[in-house]
Amino acid sequence: MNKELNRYLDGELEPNELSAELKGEAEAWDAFLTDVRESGASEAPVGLESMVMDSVRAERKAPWSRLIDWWVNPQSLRIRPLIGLAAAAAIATFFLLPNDAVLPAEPAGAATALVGEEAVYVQFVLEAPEAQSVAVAGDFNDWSPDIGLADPDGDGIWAGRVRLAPGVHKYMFLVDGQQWVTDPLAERYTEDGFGNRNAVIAITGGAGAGSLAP
Amino acid sequence: MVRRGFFTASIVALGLSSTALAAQTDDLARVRAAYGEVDAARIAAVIQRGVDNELPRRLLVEKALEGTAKRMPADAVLAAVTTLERELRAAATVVWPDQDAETLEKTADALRHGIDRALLVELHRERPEEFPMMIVAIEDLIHVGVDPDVAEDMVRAAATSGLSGHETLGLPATVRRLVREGSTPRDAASSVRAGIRPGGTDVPPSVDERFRDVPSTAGGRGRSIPPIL
Repeated sequence: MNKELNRYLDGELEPNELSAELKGEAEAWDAFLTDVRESGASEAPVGLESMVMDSVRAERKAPWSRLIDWWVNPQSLRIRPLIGLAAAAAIATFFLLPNDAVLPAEPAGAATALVGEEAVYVQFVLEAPEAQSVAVAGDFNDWSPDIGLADPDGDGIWAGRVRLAPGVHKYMFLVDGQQWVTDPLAERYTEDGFGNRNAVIAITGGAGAGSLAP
Repeated sequence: MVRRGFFTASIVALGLSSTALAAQTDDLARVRAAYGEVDAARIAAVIQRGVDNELPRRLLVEKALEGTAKRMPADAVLAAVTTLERELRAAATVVWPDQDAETLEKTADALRHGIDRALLVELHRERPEEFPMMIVAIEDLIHVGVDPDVAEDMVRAAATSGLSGHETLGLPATVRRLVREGSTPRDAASSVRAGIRPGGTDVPPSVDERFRDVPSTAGGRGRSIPPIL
């Protein structure tokens, strides 16, 4: 219904406030309402209200009963196939993925979490001529020693690049899968709570309003 | 329509709750595998105590995982998680109601290193988003040899002047460079302190000094091979 007409029927507008187009329609409504009033509509029969309410109470069940009915009785469900497929795929994905996928153990997991954010590629380097393997682990990968560094030319300098979010990160190297080594060239360190030191790297975002004078 | 809505809501709620539950139960899987159910449960209890105190679960779990990865005895892991939980609770009183994990962690570091509590409150109130980097800057300045009072004053000035965390982290880097060039830490700090001013655009190094820019395959920044090379 036209809003202006609605307001007129609600008594918020006078007839002369309506457009010419709506006046005719308003008059038709007035005539209809007059007919209704003059048709002799009477009071509801005595006892009708209590009869209706008794009927409603008779049909109404306790909430727990209705819940059980919902689960026990056959239900007709109408679902868009696309939504149903998406829900099924989501559930299947959850149960089929290995547990490790729940937490980002790989750097790729951290990178995935950085969509839309500024990230920094950090190259970790350790000189370990005798090592057979070197990995880096830190709070950015839940301390899983699964980010391997590489020494392609065999000169004992192991290096690898990891994508990190801005912030303060702690890390150590794991040599040959057994020996934890603190980065000897880190700018800063912090106690790890186990009697050793973690190296700390601070990665910042952009510039602010102030500056350092040259 | 109502039934369909109820069904969809049930599926979504079931999925969300099971995912959250799985994430929480799985994040200590390595701890359980390494130490068994009994010790893992003791560690988990401390973590839960922290969560009950509104501390970020992630930090406590990380400490447990760190100890596990480093093959520490279960008691050592338990002790480390317990200590961290206590330190984070103390830190939370400084930056309350901020519950950001990095903020809490750096506040705990700062308190452990004896940085003035009133300064921490002031810096956090002034520049909450830059707060962790400001703590790092103070620690770095002290590490270079700058008096704690002077270091705190420099970072306070940086906060007042609107320097970003990025720029604040450049303060100790600049002091360090001046010290390498022959200045005393006091003189170097004094020079750098005098150079802090609001409104400019010059940007000091963004990451650790030795992390110089190198080409990146995805447009990010990287760090160079360190001086050992």
